Amino acid sequence: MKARHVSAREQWGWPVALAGLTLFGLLSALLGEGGLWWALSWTALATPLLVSARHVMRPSQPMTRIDDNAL
Amino acid sequence: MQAWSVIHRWSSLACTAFLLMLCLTGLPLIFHDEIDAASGRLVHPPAGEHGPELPLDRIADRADGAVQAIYWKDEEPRVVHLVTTKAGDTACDARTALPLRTPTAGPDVMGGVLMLHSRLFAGLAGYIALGLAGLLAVLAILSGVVLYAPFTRHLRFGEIRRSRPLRVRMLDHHNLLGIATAAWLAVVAVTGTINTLEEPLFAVWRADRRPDGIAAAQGKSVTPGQALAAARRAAPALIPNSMVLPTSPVGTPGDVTVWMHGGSPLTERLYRPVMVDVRSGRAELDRNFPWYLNALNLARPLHFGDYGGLPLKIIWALLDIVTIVVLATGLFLWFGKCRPRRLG
Repeated sequence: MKARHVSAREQWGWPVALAGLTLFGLLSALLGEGGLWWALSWTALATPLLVSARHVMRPSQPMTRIDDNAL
Repeated sequence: MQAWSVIHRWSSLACTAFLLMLCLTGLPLIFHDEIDAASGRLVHPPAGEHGPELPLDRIADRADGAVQAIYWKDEEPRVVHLVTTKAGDTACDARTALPLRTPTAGPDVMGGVLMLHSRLFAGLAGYIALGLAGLLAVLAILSGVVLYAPFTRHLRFGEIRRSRPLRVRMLDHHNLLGIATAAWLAVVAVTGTINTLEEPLFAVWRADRRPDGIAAAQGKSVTPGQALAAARRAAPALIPNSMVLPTSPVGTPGDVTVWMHGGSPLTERLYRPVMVDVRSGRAELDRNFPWYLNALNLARPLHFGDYGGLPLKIIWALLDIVTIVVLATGLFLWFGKCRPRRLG
């Protein structure tokens, strides 16, 4: 069975967004003067953790199968 | 792609043991300020004393042995630390000049953890080994990001194929957690590698300085108090943090080095030396402080995660734990690969 590839945008959208948020979070706490910048930093850096946790803990309801026999 | 796969496998395997050790020892080190404070390792001057702090020279004069360095800690108000040839590091009450007993609540566990984390208890050899492990980790992260594409091209982001064999589920967890934390891990790995260069870089900088001043340590010289006052005049906007006298093994002959930093979250990381000539007392802010030492100063917070309050430290710890899971699933996948039956 020929597998359908997801588009590059589907594949890299989240990783690029999470990497961008991470770098923003790392710098905003360093360059910002506390207060709001720290809060933004915590939010940005917590996002990859929350997104990961959401996917890891998702109940085993099947997502729309793109391909079941690709591997 | 086959080549990237080989690079990822072997660069990861070569540094996994080091990285697991670094993640496990790094976890308590993230909170070392809190642990030190809670375990009573900070020096507190007696509460009964009031009155102004004494001039620095009055305190330095009472030192046991020749003073090599003087430093202050933000978390220990009204305390001056004197490092002397005879007594080592002594904390003194800034108001009475009396030595304060350094609390020794059992062995310095956190100090040991730091020695293991930063140099494997092995001095220069440990720095070199961990520096190489850091470079391999950077390579492993890079190749892992490259491999993310072929390994997930049939999947939606974050999809875990729960109905598939354990090995596939491990692969999906490894890919998800690895790519979600890749940027953070890359920054911590690069800055950690830079930190292993701390001693060589400072040695290079010291060797560059004032080769003509070797004979100057003799005769009349400025006192620590005069040097501090001169440094403050030379850089009124900066805050002194420590001073290193020519008598110190890491001192510069002919100069008292007063290390100062700014007051903003960024500039408080950027230490600048003010050099005070021991004979003339003339102080000068080192305007040509090399970029590589500034890079080192900035690499420290980005590695330790100690620059954004307790929430940032907690996030750092959670990311550290996720890294342990990525390492563990990676090892599992490699063990599986060793068996004859191949999946994925």
